[in-house]
Amino acid sequence: MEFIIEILSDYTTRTIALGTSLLGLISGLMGTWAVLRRQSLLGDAVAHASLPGIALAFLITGVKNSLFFFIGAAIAGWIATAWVSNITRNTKIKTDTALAIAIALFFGFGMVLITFIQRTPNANQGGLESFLFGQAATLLREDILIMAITAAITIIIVLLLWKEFKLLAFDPQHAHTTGVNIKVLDIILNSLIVIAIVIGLQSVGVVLMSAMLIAPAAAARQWTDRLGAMAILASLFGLLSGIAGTGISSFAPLLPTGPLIVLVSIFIVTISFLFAPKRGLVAQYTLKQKSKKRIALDSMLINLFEICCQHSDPQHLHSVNILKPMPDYNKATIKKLSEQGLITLTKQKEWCLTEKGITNARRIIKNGGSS
Amino acid sequence: MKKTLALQIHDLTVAYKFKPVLWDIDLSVPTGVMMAIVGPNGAGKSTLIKSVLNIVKPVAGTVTFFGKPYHSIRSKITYVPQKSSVDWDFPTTVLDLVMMGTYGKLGWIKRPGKKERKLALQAIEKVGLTGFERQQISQLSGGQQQRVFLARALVQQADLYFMDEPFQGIDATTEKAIIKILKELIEDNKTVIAVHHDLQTIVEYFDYIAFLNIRKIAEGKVEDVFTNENLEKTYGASFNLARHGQNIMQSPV
Repeated sequence: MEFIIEILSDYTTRTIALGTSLLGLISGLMGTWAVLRRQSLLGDAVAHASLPGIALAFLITGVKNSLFFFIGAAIAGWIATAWVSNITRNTKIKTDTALAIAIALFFGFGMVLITFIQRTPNANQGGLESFLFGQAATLLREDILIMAITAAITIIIVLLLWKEFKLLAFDPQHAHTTGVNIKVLDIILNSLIVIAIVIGLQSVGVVLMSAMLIAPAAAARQWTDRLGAMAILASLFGLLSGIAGTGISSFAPLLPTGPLIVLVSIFIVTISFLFAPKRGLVAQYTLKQKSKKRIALDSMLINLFEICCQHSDPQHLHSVNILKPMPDYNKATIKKLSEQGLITLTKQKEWCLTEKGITNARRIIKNGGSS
Repeated sequence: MKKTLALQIHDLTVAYKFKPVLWDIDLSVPTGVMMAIVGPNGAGKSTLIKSVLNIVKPVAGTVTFFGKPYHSIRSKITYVPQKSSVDWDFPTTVLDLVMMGTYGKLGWIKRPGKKERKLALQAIEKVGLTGFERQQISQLSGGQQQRVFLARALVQQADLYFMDEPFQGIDATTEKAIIKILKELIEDNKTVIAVHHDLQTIVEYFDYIAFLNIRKIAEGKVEDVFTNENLEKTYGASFNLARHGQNIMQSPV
């Protein structure tokens, strides 16, 4: 609690937290679509490609203005997206290669421009390089306003076009045959993804921004099988990462906010991959162990049943020693079977199948499994 | 009364770069037939369907459906893609997936309502998946996936069905169940055009056929054109079904 009060009481921290939670929210929301469309790397290309856009915006206008930077970054990011999808469509170059080329080309060009700007005698030129790794401390009220408006517009468009985006993400070819204009939808969705990335650049930076697009969505997918829930959860995870990252760096001013936000989101991913019910690694492991044990019990019971079938009385008493040569014999399994009332053990270390054990064994043989 | 053609293709050519995938195809499919498109791998069977539906842009040719161009009659045509073409881990349920078939008619922004839900539930019942409505699509077997895809097509209430390898990797029970539904559609005077691989079931399932290998080799009623001669022309000279004791029509003398 103190943590939250501390963030809320300090004006600068409050502004930054508001900005970073907005960027987390929007990148989580749009990341849901990027992840489901298997476009995780596109975010990386857009983020890197925005660097020359920012530099050019500065060179053209000569001022450091967030709105111009946003616009420059968005245009450059958009050109990169269009370029990548054009190359993949019209040449034999695969998407990953095209993305790698786009990242190198745009980022390289951006670095050249930034260095050039730094070396020109202009009192105004400092600070552009902070877009590389982000500097949340530079967020101003006007920046937050721009972010809030873009976020609101993005959310409204996503809500209005929810069913269209779902079609596009799941089966664009079929969607096309039902009369949905896939091309226009694709442009709208990609533009929103570009915007989600661009509004985060100032805080998180070009290099790490794509993580904010992917991490919250990948984590959210672990917890739910519903698209709506995934989008909401991804937005919340993004928001949480923003607030927590900002909070940690306000306590430890030597640590940079942007990378902390990314680390928090990766922490959420790790937790989700390990501990989510059903899809989490731990849950999957437990399930596997459980079914292994069940199979062991089943096969033991069938073995016992088959031994008993060699006698006219299926409840014939046998010595436990007779079981020892069996391939999957172990004491724990025998104990488990008697606990479940499938066999009874006498004091003389003899066992026999109970009525329940016989019916269970017959059912397993018939159905090929106990459940 | 003259039967209208469900599908008419003139001089259709599709090329990737400079290599023709489909070359100068003419095809006339009457209304109310169940047609198989057969041919070896790489013959352009899937591409034929995709280019007819404008998913792949042809370089030349005209296509009409019931005498009209595609864009003016889109709602009467439906497409069942290969089930491997989508990610079955997508977070959605059977009911939701089937409802997606209704979105096109609804138009932008509008939400599906009771009517769409009812249609979807009916289609799910028809394909025998009642009880699976809330099931995650990732938990479906291959046969169930194909049934869901068919249900999504049924809700569109189309007159012409394009199916890309509907029997790929499904068991005999599901295959028979799907055939039964398709035959009901045919009785309703709908038209089904399917890419099909299993030549042994052609006679049993289909009444119309087109042989394809980049060019169209032959088309017509199964009883007229499903011959060794056409099979050899399509699959190569060494190919002969009769030699393997398969059920095919005798070559017309």
